[in-house]
Amino acid sequence: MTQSTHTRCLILACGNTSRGDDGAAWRLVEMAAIAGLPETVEIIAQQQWTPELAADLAEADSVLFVDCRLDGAPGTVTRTTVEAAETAPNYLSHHTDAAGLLRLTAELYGTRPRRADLLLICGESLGYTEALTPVVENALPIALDLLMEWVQGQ
Amino acid sequence: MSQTITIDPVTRLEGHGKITLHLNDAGVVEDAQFTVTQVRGFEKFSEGRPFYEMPSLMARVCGICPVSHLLASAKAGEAIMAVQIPYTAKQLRSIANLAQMIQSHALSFFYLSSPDLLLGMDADPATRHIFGVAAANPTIGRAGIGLRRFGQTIIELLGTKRIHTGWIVAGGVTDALTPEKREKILAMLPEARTNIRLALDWYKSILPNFPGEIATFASEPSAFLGMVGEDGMFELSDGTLTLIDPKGKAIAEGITAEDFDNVFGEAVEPYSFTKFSYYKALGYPEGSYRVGPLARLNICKHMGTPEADKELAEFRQLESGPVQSSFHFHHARLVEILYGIEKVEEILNDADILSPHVRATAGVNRLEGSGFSEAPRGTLMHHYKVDVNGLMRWSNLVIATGQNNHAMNRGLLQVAKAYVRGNQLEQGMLNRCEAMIRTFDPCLSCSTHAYGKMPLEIRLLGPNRELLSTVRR
Repeated sequence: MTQSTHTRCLILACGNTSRGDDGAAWRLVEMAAIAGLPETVEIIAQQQWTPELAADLAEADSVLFVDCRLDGAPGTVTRTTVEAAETAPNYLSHHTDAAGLLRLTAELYGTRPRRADLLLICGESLGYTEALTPVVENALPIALDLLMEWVQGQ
Repeated sequence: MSQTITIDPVTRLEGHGKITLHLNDAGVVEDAQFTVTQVRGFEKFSEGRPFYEMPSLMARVCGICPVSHLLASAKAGEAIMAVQIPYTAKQLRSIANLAQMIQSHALSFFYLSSPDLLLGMDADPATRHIFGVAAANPTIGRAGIGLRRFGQTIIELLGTKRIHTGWIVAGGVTDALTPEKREKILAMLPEARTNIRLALDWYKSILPNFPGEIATFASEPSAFLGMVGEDGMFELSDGTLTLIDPKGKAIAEGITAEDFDNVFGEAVEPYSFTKFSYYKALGYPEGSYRVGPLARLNICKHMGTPEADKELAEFRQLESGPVQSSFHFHHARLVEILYGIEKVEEILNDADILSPHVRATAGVNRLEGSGFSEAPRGTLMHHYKVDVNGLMRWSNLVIATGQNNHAMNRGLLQVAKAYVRGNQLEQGMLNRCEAMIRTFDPCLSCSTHAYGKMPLEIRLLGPNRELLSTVRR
């Protein structure tokens, strides 16, 4: 197993902008792009994290996964280190999660990003709307600070 | 005591379906049904929308093959507008459709079916997925990921989005190709060629491992329907349809989108939300037929690209006459990927490909229009009726899965009879039923995908529907 020698930083956002707070990650990376990011940072926003992203991860020095979840206090933002899954996920469809993607990258390409983190925004509602709930809207500046701090640390 | 076995949902498919096997007192399969359990309703909720919105609306039917829906819908709109679109727009749309076919076939072959092919039909379900493939044969895993990424990147370069691009519209496309994007696509071709060559060689090497599956995976003779271009050449975007009988003789040729409803009907069965298409002249179910890669390779006279034509010649050695076993859908898919890579290069080298003239404009000149394209899974038809203001009054979509529905059900019975024994139920038996369905790569409710673990539950029910046992994974 080797660690990537690339200088590229990858931000992988996941969510559905038609499902309320599930679009928070997309909104966040849009804000980051507007705020300005170094040329070495690439953003990929998708509705699901799919296995082919392993090819992108294999070429990245560091990666920040950005996602929304419902199992916490709405508006809470956390950034934690994420490790490759120890065992293969029970994968039966077209998508996987951050830990699974890191494992797949290692198995297919024999390499992995030097650093991998997960920025999670706790949502309140996944209703059929393109709007975020106020509590998540208010949390976005905090999330943006954490994202920019991560970028500066790479 | 008779039993019913239910596999719900069937895994590694686009969408959700259910398999029900009816066993007699001796535990032998007597009947089998493949049920599509979801309802879409796009035809209904599009009523009242402007016809020019339809391509983007209808593309949401599917997250895997939206380009085919965009294309069929745009062509139906162009029939309403009564316009001919610019040559370059046709060529650019062909590239997008080829790219989509490549990424969709890569998903079907490498992500959904290669676990069965590489690890075996009886392998532990816990390892029978893309992670298992990555661990057992990373070279094949990388080839699959590379091909899917290749197709998706082309779509993104053309239409700015990998999925649900709004670039294809009634009248052509919204933006011309730039020289920079053309060069980017051309630069990706060598790796794509290497990947498909590797996959084809590997697949041919493991094919002898599956004689039982080849013999029982929907191998009953049937008619085939598919698009062809001039001189019977392989075509996916702009051609007419040909229907051949099980021996390869043309039953109907030169079928246009306007002809479709006159030539083909849709039957309904009480156990499924998906209809059953048939050739009206023969009635239902006698007029049932198959569509998709197997049909297209059986129907075309030649592919029209050098390497794919060599592979077509080899493919046709698999059986005498049209290739009937649906197991060979896999092989056909790989040949189509090779064709797609060659054809994208050919079109990109067209002298007019960078022309800025890519869109025709017009209002409502007809109150009805139809369009079709070849989706990865087979022929896709959109038929619209509008009022004088161009607002949708009625629509109908005929999708590939409906056209393969009868064959899938017949195939399910065939494979279940061959492998399933109710008194000694094993995972491998049931996986073969699922794997047979996967050969068709059916798109059940394409835009819907389960999050997290997709549970497979097999239920054994007694004659009074009492639960005898349940197997979960």
